[in-house]
Amino acid sequence: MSTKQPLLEIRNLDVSFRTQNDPLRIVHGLSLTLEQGETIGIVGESGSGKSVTSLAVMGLLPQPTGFISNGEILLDGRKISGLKEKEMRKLRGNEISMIFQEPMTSLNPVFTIGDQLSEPLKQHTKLSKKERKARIIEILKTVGIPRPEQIIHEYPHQLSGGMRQRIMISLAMLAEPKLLIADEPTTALDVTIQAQILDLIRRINKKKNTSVMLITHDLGVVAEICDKVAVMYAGEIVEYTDVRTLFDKPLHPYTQGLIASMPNMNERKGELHSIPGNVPRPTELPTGCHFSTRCTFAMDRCHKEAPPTISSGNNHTVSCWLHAIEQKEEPLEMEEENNVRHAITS
Amino acid sequence: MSDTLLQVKELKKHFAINKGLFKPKAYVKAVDDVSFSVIRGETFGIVGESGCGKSTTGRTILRLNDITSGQVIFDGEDLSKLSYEDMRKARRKLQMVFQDPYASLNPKKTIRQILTEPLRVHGLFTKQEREEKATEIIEIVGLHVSHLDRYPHEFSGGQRQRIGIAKAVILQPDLIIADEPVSALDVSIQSQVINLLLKLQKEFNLTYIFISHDLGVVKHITDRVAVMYLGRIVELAKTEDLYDKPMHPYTQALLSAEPIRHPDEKRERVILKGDVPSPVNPPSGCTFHTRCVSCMEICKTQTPSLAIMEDGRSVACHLYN
Ligand SMILES: Nc1ncnc2c1ncn2[C@@H]1O[C@H](COP(=O)(O)OP(=O)(O)OP(=O)(O)O)[C@@H](O)[C@H]1O
Ligand SMILES: Nc1ncnc2c1ncn2[C@@H]1O[C@H](COP(=O)(O)OP(=O)(O)OP(=O)(O)O)[C@@H](O)[C@H]1O
Ligand code: SF4
Ligand SMILES: [Mg+2]
Ligand SMILES: [Mg+2]
Repeated sequence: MSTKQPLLEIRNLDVSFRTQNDPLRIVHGLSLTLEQGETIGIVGESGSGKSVTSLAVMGLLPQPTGFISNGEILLDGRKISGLKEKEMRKLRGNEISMIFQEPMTSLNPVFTIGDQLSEPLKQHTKLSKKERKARIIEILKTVGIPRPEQIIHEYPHQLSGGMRQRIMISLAMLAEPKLLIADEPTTALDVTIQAQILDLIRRINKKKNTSVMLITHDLGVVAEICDKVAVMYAGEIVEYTDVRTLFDKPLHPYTQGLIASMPNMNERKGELHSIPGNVPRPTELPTGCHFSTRCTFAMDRCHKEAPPTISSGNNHTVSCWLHAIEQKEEPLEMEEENNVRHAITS
Repeated sequence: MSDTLLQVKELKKHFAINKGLFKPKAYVKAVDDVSFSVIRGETFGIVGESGCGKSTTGRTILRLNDITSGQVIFDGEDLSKLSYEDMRKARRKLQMVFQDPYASLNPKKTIRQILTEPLRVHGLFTKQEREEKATEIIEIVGLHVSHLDRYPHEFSGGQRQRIGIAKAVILQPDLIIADEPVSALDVSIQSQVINLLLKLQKEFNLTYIFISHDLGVVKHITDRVAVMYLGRIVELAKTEDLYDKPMHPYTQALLSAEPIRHPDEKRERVILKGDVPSPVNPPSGCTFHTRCVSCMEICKTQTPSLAIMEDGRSVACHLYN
């Protein structure tokens, strides 16, 4: 075994769904690595394939329609894509845990909070009933649930959205997983509660050295807690880099557009920078670069051929023809960079 | 004197909820003594967390639900006193845009029908003129004439919101109450719709009440903002003043909780303890006192009134009285 291998490695992943016609490819050529203790953000707009990617890692793609049609997923160097459901179940709630976007749908309404939290402990540990209770109360305290001794006897509907999300986090953390996948953990919550939850995830990540894969459409959340970021558009990673580089020197026109359209980046009451057009549906993807129909820099080639993934050093990759060409032609890079700055400061 | 278009005075909306056959009726104090005025041509923001009463305020102004007490004076006329029929007529001048554009568009009607119907209901123009108006407005909101004969489900969320806006604007109202108009939209689409709202405001001299929980969007688009907590306004100020120097402890906590804009940005956070209390049994005194870091004895018993500060803002907090 090598000493330094990433905790999670996704290699060239394709995920497809069976339809009445041909299978529809939803995620394409997705590669990323996550070291132990690292937090990666997966950002992208609705339908870009963020949840499908996380479900693929969890082995929870909807059956029998969803399947991994190419590539592989490795955890600690061990291939986990293609594992039998029984094997996968051992990993889930043990080495990998997930927090879902809507806590209400993932907590069972007919069981008390205490019952639901006991379940993974029963499955994955040999603790006695009394020890389980102590452990549950301890974890509820760590996530900031008031009066945990009473809450364990209550049902999900008796709790607020923020409290339910904290219960979900304790559920995910009980087995002290190495990898925590959080799918939009704060999207349904108010900012003040969001700040509490992000703070909690940050503390877990620091204290237990848990790796976190955080899925969000909010660049602010990324700035808050991620070390590195994968930006997804229409099923593909279009840019992949550390978080500072993403904000300081985004290379992909889509990333640039997203950052420039944050209201805070624009003069108050002025016209906001915006990306024209709509996100294409998976059945209507343009040929060539998927972003070509909305890209202000699109060239002929962009409409015809899918762009290669270009490395721009320091683990920064971008899938865009502008940068494929740029590597040879210096002047274009200058011009491009000025454009970026302009978009961000204007 | 600036030209006041709308004046809301001591507005209350309490919803009765049944707790059980033999239990006394309880009330959700969704809006509890709210007063503000909106100046013609401005964008007036209402922010606050889920359940604080933003939508209920908007809906009660339009009398989409009954008023418990208080007055809504629009262009000199007290809407709270209008008959049902007169209120229906008055709505031509006050329109609403909703968060979920899908729910507010009839799925069985074409866009053409959806857009011409409000004109027909209000007995405006001939059939031909109504069609012309629809053609005109569909292009103004950035869609195409060919879209007129399609149905709502054929459009993306952003396009549907454009249609929802077109439907409100076609009546040439004076005031549009937009309740979370961009909250359901993707980031790249959100900015398109905000730009559309800004453009229409200039073009038609519209006044907006813009309801949102998104502090960044509110900062961008509004001239003045009211911050609500548990059915009450706790602070009302010019947008720049509010964001530069929030005064109410709740506003301070709310603004500090907003995500940072850059990984290197450092922010002092006021982390609020616990959750928002129930609006059925709001805390005594200042309703924020249970979560306030500056809470004093007086706060637990006495309700602070809105006091006017030097810069013209109002703040309901004993720290400033
Ligand atoms: N069970 C399924 N069958 C067929 N298509 C699916 C299924 N689940 C998801 N998809 C499609 O896969 C694409 C990606 O969906 P996914 O849920 O991963 O998006 P997302 O990035 O998580 O979006 P959001 O921000 O809205 O959660 C979408 O176009 C969606 O319609
Ligand atoms: N028809 C109703 N019957 C009973 N209670 C209601 C009704 N409508 C709203 N409420 C309650 O009134 C309070 C204010 O609700 P409102 O929808 O105005 O909040 P909001 O600020 O718009 O929240 P959000 O940000 O979630 O949209 C809430 O406690 C809500 O549960
Ligand atoms: S009145 Fe008191 S409790 Fe209320 S916000 Fe001000 S200081 Fe805090
Ligand atoms: Mg998703
Ligand atoms: Mg609302």
